[in-house]
Amino acid sequence: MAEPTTRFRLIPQSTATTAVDTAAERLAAISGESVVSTGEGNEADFGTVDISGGAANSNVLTLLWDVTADGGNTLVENFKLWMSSNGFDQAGSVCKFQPLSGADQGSPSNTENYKANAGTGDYTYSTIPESEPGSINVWPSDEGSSMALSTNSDDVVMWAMYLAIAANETTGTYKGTDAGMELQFSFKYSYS
Amino acid sequence: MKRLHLDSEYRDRWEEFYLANGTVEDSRLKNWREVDWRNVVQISVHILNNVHTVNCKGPGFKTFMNFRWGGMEAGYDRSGKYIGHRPINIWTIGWTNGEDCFLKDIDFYTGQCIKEYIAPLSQFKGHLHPMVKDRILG
Repeated sequence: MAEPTTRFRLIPQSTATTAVDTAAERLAAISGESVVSTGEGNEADFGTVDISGGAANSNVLTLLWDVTADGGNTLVENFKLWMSSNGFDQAGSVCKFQPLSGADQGSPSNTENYKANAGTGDYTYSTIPESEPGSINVWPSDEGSSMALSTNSDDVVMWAMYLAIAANETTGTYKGTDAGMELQFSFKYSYS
Repeated sequence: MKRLHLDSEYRDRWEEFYLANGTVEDSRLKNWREVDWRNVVQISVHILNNVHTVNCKGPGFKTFMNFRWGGMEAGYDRSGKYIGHRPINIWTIGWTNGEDCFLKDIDFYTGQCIKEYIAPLSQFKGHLHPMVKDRILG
């Protein structure tokens, strides 16, 4: 077995619910999407947070992960997302996230249904772990715990996230390798 | 000898599946899903010059587990300085008693054991071999 080929995509917050309410739509190109990676200039950008008036939040980002080549494997599961490191000086500066369904789940339990133009008050966010979680913490959009592979995955893992920045946080640009101002996430999954 | 189409990195990285009748299947020759999993009595992972083995002698043994981990993880040097992301590439072998899995994570690049751990089968039920999945999950 070879490792599957995967991708991360960022979609516009304005994406209509009707554009992501079936697995086929989530797997296809979504208008305005961009593929993001760990490369400089190609990373997801939370934008500027103005804390001159106290604690404030970043933009909300909506990201999708899926498999585009199965590598001879038939299943992926145990999706784990965490913040590996950040340069924040204030304990109150954290990343919030919420796994999402595509607005097509009747009563989602592990996820919430996607909302267009969602802000920080539109989902029940939790604080993202800052070390590898012990078990799955982001779920496929069909609410399963795994995704079948047949060249592509049969759905995507989708989530919303933003940064909650505490008052008195050290100002500057937080990204990548910048010592004391780094900002990195990790993603892990099992496959067979 | 007909081999599976695999990248050159598998030249020094493979698994052997030992069957009760003495047959030894090789992951370079046969996909693990095609191995007669009901009769596997031992798995050995060979990476570079390291060999990791699990057998069927654990209490309550039901079947072997065999899967891999992928992804991207931030890496740090000994002083804690970020040195970039690197792909996660782990081979995991082990066994289950039907409730818990007794697993060993092996670094695909070095062949070193990363950790041994126990985790609920419910986390990994998708990776049960198709020949035994229904029997194990009831």
